[in-house]
Amino acid sequence: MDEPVTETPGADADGGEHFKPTGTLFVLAIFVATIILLWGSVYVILLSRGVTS
Amino acid sequence: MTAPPTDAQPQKESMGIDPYERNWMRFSIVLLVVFLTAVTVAGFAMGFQVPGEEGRVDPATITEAGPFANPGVRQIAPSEFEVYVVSRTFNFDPAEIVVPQGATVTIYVTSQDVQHGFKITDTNVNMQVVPGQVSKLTYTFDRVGEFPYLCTEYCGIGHAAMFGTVKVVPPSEFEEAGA
Amino acid sequence: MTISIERSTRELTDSEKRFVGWHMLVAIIALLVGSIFGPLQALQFSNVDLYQYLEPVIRSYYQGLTLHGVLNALVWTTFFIVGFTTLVVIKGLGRALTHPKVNWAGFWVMVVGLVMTAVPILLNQATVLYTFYPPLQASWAFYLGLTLVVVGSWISGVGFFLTFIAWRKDNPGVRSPFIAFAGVLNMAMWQIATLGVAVEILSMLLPWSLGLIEATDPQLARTYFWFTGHPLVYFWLLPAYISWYGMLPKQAGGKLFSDSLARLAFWLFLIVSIPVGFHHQFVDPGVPTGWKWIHATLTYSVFFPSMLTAFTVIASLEYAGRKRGGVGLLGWIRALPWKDPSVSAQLLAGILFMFGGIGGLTNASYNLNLIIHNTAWVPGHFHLTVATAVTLSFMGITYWLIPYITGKKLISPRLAQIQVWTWFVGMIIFSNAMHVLGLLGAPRRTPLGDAPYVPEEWNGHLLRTSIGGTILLVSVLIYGWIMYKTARGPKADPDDVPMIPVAESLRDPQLTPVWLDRFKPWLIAAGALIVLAYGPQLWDQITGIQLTSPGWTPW
Repeated sequence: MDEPVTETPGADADGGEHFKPTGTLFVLAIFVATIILLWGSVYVILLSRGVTS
Repeated sequence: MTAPPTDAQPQKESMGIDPYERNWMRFSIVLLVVFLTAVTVAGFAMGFQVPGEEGRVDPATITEAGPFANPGVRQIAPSEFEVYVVSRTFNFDPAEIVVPQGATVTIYVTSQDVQHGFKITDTNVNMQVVPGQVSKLTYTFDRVGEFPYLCTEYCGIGHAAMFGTVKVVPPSEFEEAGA
Repeated sequence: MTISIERSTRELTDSEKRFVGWHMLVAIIALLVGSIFGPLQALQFSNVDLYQYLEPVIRSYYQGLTLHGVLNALVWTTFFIVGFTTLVVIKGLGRALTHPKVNWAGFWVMVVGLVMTAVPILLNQATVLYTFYPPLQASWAFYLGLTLVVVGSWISGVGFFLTFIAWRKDNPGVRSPFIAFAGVLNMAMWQIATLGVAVEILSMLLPWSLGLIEATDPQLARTYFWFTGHPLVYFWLLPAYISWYGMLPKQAGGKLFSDSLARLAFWLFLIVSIPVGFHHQFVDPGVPTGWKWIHATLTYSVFFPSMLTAFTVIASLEYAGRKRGGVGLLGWIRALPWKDPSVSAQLLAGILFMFGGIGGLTNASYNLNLIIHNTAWVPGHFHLTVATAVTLSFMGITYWLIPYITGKKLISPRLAQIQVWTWFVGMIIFSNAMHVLGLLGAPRRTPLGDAPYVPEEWNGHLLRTSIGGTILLVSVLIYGWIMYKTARGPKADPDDVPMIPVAESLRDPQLTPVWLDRFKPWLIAAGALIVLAYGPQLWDQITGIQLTSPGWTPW
């Protein structure tokens, strides 16, 4: 059974569903928002505590 | 037992990256570049710098000769001070640093024995203190108040008791004290 | 015609299972003993002194902390990892180790090293914490013992490399099975990484503690230590990733989303885990700011394969969840087999790891480190990473691995579930409190219950630390109980004994490009990057060495 190898995302080796990881993107969006929030707040603390040189 | 790929039917190798994942990879790189830029600007353009190489000393002789032989605060200009701090198990010398509000203080710290830490609460002054090395940072004390400096590196049984205090006083009070 | 890699159907032999089992036994005992000190430390923060009950053996918070760090961060991890790698190499490659005697020798050298390290610690002659920074000076036996543990792991590593090479010879052109490839890569990375601490101990600390050298250079010692210290955490993390990529998708009823990106992530770890050590030395006096910044940049790049891992692992889980009937944007999460404690452990470990990773990125951010270096934030951070992402995952793995190697049933999946969730809840409370304490300025490695400078503001967080630590104690005791009862239980019906979960990938691994399955170019790249990132500074520090610090034992 010849199957052309394509770039179809997430295609099963036996020619199954095309899986779009939308839930993953949603979770990662929350993750990124958290990163920006938490990292950003520490950055702000750095700036608020005064210059060291 | 698997058969190796035959020449008759060449397999097309590819990364096979899902477009969502490809975009995630690009986004991740952008995010990291943005953060790194923010950090670099703060560090090299705005002056939020970490300690660098400052010099070597011999822990056995620091209290006999050189600037650490007389630890304490010295005024070098109207609003400029320098302070040499000797760390030892289990105290800082001086145990108290008094400066007027607005003073720019250059702090030099070293150790007579083991590694210590020197971190002034509520400021960005945080240094690893390594015997044989001089740690230095410059900081401007804009706010009046008391700022403890704590030993933040395990140095032995009395580590938890090791601390000092920066007292930032109103300029008038500093003048009166004749410090 | 698509080529499919023949799924390895070879199981471990009884003697191979026993061999893995010995590693797990040492690892789990180390974890249980080491974890006793955690709650002792946490309760000390609230002025509850339980150390009195451990006298005269344990004489101080710091001695307990040394045991806690060495047993949990070095022994539990290393023994588990070597045992787990043995399993994935044999199972993945579908063959026996080529030289089992070599691996046995590795195990025994590790055990001898462990004993040699433990004795001085228990005698209060090595109260130097797991980082043993000179000029604190431990007994020579402590340093030699640690060396032997590392050398033992090298020997085991050689056993794995020889086995992998033999498999290669017998299977030209075939993509190496993922779990075996990743296990071998981790050991290769470890081999390189441990050179730093090996040089530190052999060229500096051992002769110094034996009195052959009178004084040492503590700054150079730090640089050697952290050469190893950072990749050490990836040595711990990568086996958890092996499970998350190569086993968990199977357990969840799905497949690995991308074989090629899974391998790419591991290769990136091989090349960028090591040349980053200065991010542990951002506020050191003897390292120039330029080099610190370069290592910060490299550390940011090693964050990238973890971002990649987040996507690939979560997508693999989403695939599984949807296959199980989950619908909608988040329904797939609920559809995952949460009832399986091995799965829930790793899912919860992944959730907390997100916060651990964010904290790590913060620590690596050059001047942001000024806020948190040597504060309580740091143990807050690493309890999310090594103590949760890694340890909770490892615990989850043992929930199938111990039944597999013993041929017995897990004594109570319900109890295991309780163990997993109490770890999760306890860790959230503990770790969050420690992060906040760090931002408020509380130092790490300090019995804060004794500290005269503790302000009122810290008290609520100190209490939360104690509460979290107590919950974690309950969790680890349950874990020990489950392990004990399972191992001592009756032999189970073979149908009731779990299989080793090995995930298939969505796409045939044979399609993954060959440059993602060749060690040589990546090893060369790893070496080159290390030379570039460390060479000049090591040269400077070594040629500028000043031996001015005699040993101190201020405990």
